[in-house]
Amino acid sequence: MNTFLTLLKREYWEHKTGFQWVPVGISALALFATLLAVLFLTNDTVKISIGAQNPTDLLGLWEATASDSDKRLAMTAWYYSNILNLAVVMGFVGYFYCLGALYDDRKDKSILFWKSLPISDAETVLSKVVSVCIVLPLLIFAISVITNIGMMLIGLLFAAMSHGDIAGMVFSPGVILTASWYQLVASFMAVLWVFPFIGYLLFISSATKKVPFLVSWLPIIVIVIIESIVFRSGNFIGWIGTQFSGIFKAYSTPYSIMSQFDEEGLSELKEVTSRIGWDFGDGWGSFSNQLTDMNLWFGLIIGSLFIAGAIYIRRYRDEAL
Amino acid sequence: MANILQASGLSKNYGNYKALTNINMNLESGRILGLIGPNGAGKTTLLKSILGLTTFEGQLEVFGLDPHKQRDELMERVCFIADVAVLPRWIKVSQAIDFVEGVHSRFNRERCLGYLAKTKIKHESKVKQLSKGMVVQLHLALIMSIDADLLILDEPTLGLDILFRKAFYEQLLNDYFDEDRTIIITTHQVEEVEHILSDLVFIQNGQIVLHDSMDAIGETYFEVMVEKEYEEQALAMNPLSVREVFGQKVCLFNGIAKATLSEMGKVRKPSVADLFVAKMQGAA
Repeated sequence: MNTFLTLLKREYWEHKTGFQWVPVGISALALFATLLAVLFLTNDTVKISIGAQNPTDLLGLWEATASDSDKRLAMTAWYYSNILNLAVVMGFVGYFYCLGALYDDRKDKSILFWKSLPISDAETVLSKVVSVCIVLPLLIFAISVITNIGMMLIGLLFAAMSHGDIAGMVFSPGVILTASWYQLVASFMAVLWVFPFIGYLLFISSATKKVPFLVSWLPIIVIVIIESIVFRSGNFIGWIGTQFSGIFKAYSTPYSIMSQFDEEGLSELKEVTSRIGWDFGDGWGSFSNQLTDMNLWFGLIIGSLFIAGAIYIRRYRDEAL
Repeated sequence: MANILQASGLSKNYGNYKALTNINMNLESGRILGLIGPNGAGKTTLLKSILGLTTFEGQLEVFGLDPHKQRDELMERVCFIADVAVLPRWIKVSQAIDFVEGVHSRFNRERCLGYLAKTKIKHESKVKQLSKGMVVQLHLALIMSIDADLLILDEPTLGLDILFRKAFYEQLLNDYFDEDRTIIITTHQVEEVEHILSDLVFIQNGQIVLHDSMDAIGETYFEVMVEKEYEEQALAMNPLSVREVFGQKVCLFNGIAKATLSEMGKVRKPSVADLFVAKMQGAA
């Protein structure tokens, strides 16, 4: 008997579609599109750019005169950018998960079943927090590793079809792990930035009597409008903007980590990588910078307060429904 | 016998509406209490108070605990099926079993599998694929496999056919119930549970109108098929209720010696349903 682990399993069972099959489906779609690109859009003389996931750019990367370690970094970046769409999926899945987490069981009255078992409401709510903050990013991590292995296989297929001997460069299991690891850390960092909103959504989910989706937007819109009319300022929307720009910081930080190299052939590599869809530049955030950012900690406190509120309401609401 | 439930001056208002007014009752362990009342009488509110699902005024202790404030501790010992409670539609039967096993130290998996083996429920089915009756069967199997000290069943057999209802109450009495356990049942099908009850509470308009053990009721309430010639005499003795069966008056008396009554006609124990109707009409 392990109550908390069982509660986490429960969340996974209920949300298997969003937590697992949606990201798997999106990944499958991305792999399929890449495969089509390799099969139909590739020839040796014309490199067609179809965005960040075009393996034909690998040829350019191979031709660049950069050192092997630089090329490895570029490959890491290629794999990393490959799986950023999973971060978008995670955002949507997480949003709707939080909205329904403490509302759906009240709506269908199954809360009376959960409440007939010796589980405290704090455990219940915290199991939902852990599910969205830790379990979901871990599942996305696992899916991203598999996706990247698929990407590598497609890259090898391309290698076999092209004249350049790029198979050695493309076959890179270690690089895949590095890229997925970057994604995992970035995901957790992003979770820390959006934590006040996770808490807020769980609070709404616990408190609202109906339509959590609309109710979740209402206070935000009202506060922004009132602040702009009464104080003629935009501090609140500015704060929200800061927290959300944290997400972009979190996901761009691995790029800035990867850009910390200074070898010959860098400019050429930059030229190639810019074709892949992004720029190495001086990163505007490192993870340690973000962790010492007061905004991040302020957000964590706000999120915790909301979660405490969500637990209180679920526990002491006069009618369990 | 230890007192496991004690209420004194228990009240609950929803705004101006008085759902419960000054409820006083107690219950010893090893009893099966039938809580009977018309719709809207306050049965569910009373059960909710006992289960800590709502606030209340007055004193209420279950196993010496305040149900609302000490709910987490209480739920280790109490199990319930609320009348509107449904199992989550997305859960698989096997998952539901795993879940209850994972969170309840007193859950007996073999027992649950044994109950389910008697039904047509497949372990791989999701709740939403089960019929209404099967969902109830699953719910009962889960709850009855928990070694709870107090089991509260609010309309447990709603939507089940007569065969299953009978089997369920037999099972409840033979396999589940023992002297350390206590059961509270509410149901509209009084006639099906009356033979297993040890205590009876009638509730109307938020107030208790009868609270006694079945034995005591059997000694104080009698129904007499009054012979024609004694009719006037019987009516003069203030029967609780009078109804007519095949042209003969049937009178329900409280607190009159059996010997006195048997002079007027055939005396028998009233059914809980007849007693209920008589009490409700009297109180209304």
